[in-house]
Parts: sequence; C-alpha cells; structure tokens
Amino acid sequence: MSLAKKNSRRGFTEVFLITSRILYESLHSFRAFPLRSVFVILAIAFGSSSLTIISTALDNTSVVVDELVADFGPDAMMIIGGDQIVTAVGGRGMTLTKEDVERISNNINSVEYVVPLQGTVGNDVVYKGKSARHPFVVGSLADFAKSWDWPLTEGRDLNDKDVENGAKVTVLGSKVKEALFENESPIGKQIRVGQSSFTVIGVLEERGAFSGQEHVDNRIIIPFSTLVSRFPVDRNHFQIIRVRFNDSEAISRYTEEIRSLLRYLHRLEDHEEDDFFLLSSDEILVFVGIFKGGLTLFLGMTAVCSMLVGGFVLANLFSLSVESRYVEIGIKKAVGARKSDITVQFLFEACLLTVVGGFIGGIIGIVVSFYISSLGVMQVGFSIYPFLLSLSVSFVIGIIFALKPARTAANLDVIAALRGN
Amino acid sequence: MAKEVIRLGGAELIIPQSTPKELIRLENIKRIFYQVASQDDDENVSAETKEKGLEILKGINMTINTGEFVALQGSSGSGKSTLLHILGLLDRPTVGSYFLEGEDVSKLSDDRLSIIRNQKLSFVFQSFYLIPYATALDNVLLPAQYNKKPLSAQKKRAEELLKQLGLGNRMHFKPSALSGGQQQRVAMARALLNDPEIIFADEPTGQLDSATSRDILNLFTEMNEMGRTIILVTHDSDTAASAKRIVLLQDGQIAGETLT
Repeated sequence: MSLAKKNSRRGFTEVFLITSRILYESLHSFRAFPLRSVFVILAIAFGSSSLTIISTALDNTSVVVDELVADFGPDAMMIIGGDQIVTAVGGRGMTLTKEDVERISNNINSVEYVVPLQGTVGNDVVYKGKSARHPFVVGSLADFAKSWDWPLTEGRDLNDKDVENGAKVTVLGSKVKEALFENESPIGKQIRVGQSSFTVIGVLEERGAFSGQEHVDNRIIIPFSTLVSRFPVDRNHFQIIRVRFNDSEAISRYTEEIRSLLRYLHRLEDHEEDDFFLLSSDEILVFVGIFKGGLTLFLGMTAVCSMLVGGFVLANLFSLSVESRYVEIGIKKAVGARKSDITVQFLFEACLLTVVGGFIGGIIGIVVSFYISSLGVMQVGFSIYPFLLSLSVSFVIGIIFALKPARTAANLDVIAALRGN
Repeated sequence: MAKEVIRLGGAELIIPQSTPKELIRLENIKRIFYQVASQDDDENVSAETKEKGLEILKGINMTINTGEFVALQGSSGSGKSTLLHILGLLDRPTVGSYFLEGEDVSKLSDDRLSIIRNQKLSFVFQSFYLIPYATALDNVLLPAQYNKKPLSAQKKRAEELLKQLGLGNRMHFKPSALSGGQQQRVAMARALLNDPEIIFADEPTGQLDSATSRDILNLFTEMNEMGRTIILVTHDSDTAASAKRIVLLQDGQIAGETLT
C-alpha cells in the first residue's frame, strides 16, 4: 500500500458500512448515558407536544374556516345595516330598507334570492312546560332555508303565502327543537312565543356555529309580516339582507355593484363612509386569513420557543457529555476514527434522542388534542402531518444544536483528548 | 543482498540472507511546544514571546527495521512519550521528516493518518483507555468500526484474540468488572485486531503489579516473535530489558543505544 498517494476519500460502500456501524453504536448511548438521554428526550418531548397541539389546532382552524365558508355559502353575501361603528349598546344603525331589497333584486344580474332579515331577542319559546330561553326570533321573507343554503331536516320552508297572510307559522332552529321536543317531531305542534302561538312547519339542520355570542341554531324563523305585527321591531328597516347569486365566480364584482347601488340609494356623498357592511365568503376568508396568520405567528413562536428550549438543553448536555468523554474520543481517533466519524457519532446520538423525544411528544400532543376536543373546545381530526412536522423539527433541532458539541469533539487533539484535557 | 556461505562436506552452499527491511526512518525530528504566558491571540504579546517554545525533541535521527523490538527508555521529561506519539502518527513533528515504509508521512492529511493508524499501527497505553460502557469484546472491536472489512470476520477474530489472551469467559464483561491485568489484555487484543505492523506501547506495565507486568511483557515478546515490530516506551530499565534494542533518551536527544 502506498501510504502517501492513496486517495483518503471513502467509497460509497465504505461510507455505508462505517456509518451504519457508528449508528448502531450510537444506540448504546441510550443506556450508556441514561440521565442525559432522559433529560434530552423530555425537553424535546415537551416542545414537540406543544408543536403538535398547536399545529393540530391550526389544522382545525382551516377545517372550521372551510365549514364556515361552506355554511355561509360561497355564492352568497350578506348586507348588514348600519356603519361599522358599533353603538354603545352593541347594535348597529338601521339603514336597510324595502326599496334596497327590491332594487337589488331587480337591478343586479345573477341574483337568485334576496331575503331580508329582521329579528328580536328576549322572548322565551314554550311548549308544554318546556322552554327555550331567549332564542333569536327571525322575521324573513319566503325561502329562508334556500337563501341561507340551510337544509331542513323535516317539514317545509316559509313560502310567499305565509308572508302575505302574516301566518303564525315558524321554522325552528335545531337547538330550540331539541329543547322543546327532544326526539318528538314538532311538525304541526303549537308553540308559544311571547304572547303569540305559532305552528311549527319545519326544522333547520344543526349548524353548530356561533353568530357573535349567539348560537345560530338557537333561533326560530317566522314570516317578516308576522314579526312586525306581533313584536316591537322597526317596520321599515331590516337588519340584514341575504343575497344569493347564480354563480360564485364573480362575487367580488357583484359586491362592488351592490355597494354602488346602495350608496346611490342611500344618497351617500363620495367623502362619506358606507352606512352598511358587505360580507361575502371572500371577505370571510380574508378576515379569517388575517386572524389565522396572527394566530399562526403567535402560536408558531410559542412552539419554536419550546423547541429552542429543548435544543438548548440538548446543546448543554451534549457539551458536558463531550467533556466527560474525552478519553473515548481520543482512543477512537487513535484507532482510526476520522473527524467526520466523531461528528457523525454525536449527531446520530443527538438525533436519536430528539427523534424519540419528538415521537413521544407527538403522541402526547395528539392525546392532549383529542382530550381538548372531547371538552368541546375544538374539533380534532387525526392527521399525520402535525406528527410528521413534530418529528422533522425534532430531527432538525438535533442536527443544529448537537453540531457545535459534535464539531468540538471531532476537532479534539488526540493526545490532549487521551490525557483528558 | 547479504549472503551466508555454509560448507557442507565438500560442497559450498550459498544461502541468501535478507537484509533487515527499513520500516521507520526519522530525520532531524524536533517537537517544540509553544508556551505563551498569555493568550496566543493577544496582539500585545510580542512575536518573540510567542515564539518561545519548549523544545521537547531536539533533532532525533533513528531507524527502526521491520520486526524489531525497541524500547525507548528515559526519565520523565526526556521526550520518550512525545517521540512515541510522533512515531504513532498521533502527533506531528515541528521540524524534520518521518519516513514510514520509505514514504514521508509527516505532512499527510489527518484523514490519511487515520487510515494508516487503523490499518498498520496500534497502541497499548498505560491507562488502558477502554470505553467504560462497552464490553471487553466491543472494546476490542473498536478499530473494526472504521474500516470496510466484514464485521462478522472481525468479531470472530476479536473473540479468538480474547480467548488466546485468557479472557474467553470475560468478553462480555465491562472494564469495571475486570482487573488491571485483564484490562491491559483487552487493550492488547484491541491492538492486535487489525493485524498491525507496528505496536506502540506507552508504559504498558505502569499500572500493573510485577507478576502481571511480566505476563504482559511476555505477550509483547510473543507478538514480536510472530514478526510484529514493537516499540515500547518506559522509564523502567527492567521493562526496557525485555526489548532487543534499547534507545536511551535524555533531554530530547538520543543519548545512547544498547542491544540486549
């Protein structure tokens, strides 16, 4: 063998063999340094579990947003009366009129439904001694369920005849139905709302969402004409106008058309703000996107900090570990280990610990997420991605934070290492 | 090539005799350790001060042939361990050239030196230097981690070596469960695993009692008789006497040589 001239680079087979042997030896480090292993695994597991919970929560947010948009209707928009300044009692100005409804219906192309909505809160709904407390009593024109893309589980929707006659009929939200009738069918039954009796003609499907602080399923729908005649509400104005279009592609264009029309109808000067608020699924996505972005940033920083703490624990313990293993490093170099072999050994040891920590943390995170889900705080569907993310980040943390101690070990002088200094 | 002539009856037999093959040649080897009073990077420290160094080896010239059993003997601070480290490619000379098998190895890369150490050289130290959390067998197999020879064959050889050295029933013991002599035998088995050409021993009996020391030195003699070159460092003249050639070091220089 020529000592000087032979290339000292290893071939693929040699690299594979030596690396696999070093990896195998690294497995022993679990038992050889149990305290170090436990501390690193725990530190990473805590960070990793929070990362898993956070990414699961953010995943859940996406699902909720999708459901929200689906419930709202991608082909629909809502016009809310009043400007954006909330009054002292939490209400908004009443600016939407019948004329607005008619002109939108007649002037805007592609409009399928225009359904105004007026409502009142504060009346208990009673049936045979059972009551639903303070549901939102909504006055609507015909086709409420269709315009809100809100299916009925039984019965029928309001029709034009109900509205023309001021019929004392109602469609129940699922929470009200549950409170009054449980498993019994309410169709045709008489319920009492305030001082008036109403016949139940339909039941809406459960949505499970909130509108402000109110549960959207805690409502009853009655004809608009009945509402204004039997409850003390503004007869000339609506709180909300629901508009549904034939297609969802040009929602932003329709939004601008409706804005222009309403500004014209409300005689707003150029310098004046809108006295209404337009809400479309696009706007919901933008709003939720901003909210989710903030949430991601905040929670992401929390998760990153947790992982960094784990990383610093790792770096600290590995630095101490290198110091206590000078002789081992020295003898390995004396028998032929290269700098790269020593580096790889320490990186393997670190990554094994962090990946085990990440795995345990991932499991803890998923269990905790499901527990939180069982409390009704959020919905969790099992997804492998938060788990894989947790493992990947743990691996990267292992590489980054063990690199310095590993390089220190690799660069030790053989003689100094053997002498333990 | 030298010839030996033997007369057998009336016939004259000429038997060629191989001349000893040169294995190691040192030319004017110096090793200077720079000791600066303050930090090396301090710009306020003069260049002259930085250059103040402790010259441990002061121009060593020597040759060692294949199959020799050489003892480097000297008192503490004579430079014998430093010389051994340079010979074992664990350290580099500050000045001079080191020829191993006729090639200058004093300026090879670290990786190249690692390969040579793994394939041709091995070490036995006074403090054994066994990995505490590994078994005797795993300690012997340590050099096997860093070459591409099949692990199964190396494991078989490690087991055979441990058996030959009387540790057949101790191979799965950790160093803490072995006596000093047994630990040194494990270190010797490790040194033999890759069938090295040269074995370097740095005070190998320094921590052993006299009976165990004799056993260990006998093992070195056996290894030498099997053709391996042994270079042993010791301060003890009795230990040095087990070698065939004693090189006396004094104050970083060769003060004399003796053939035993």
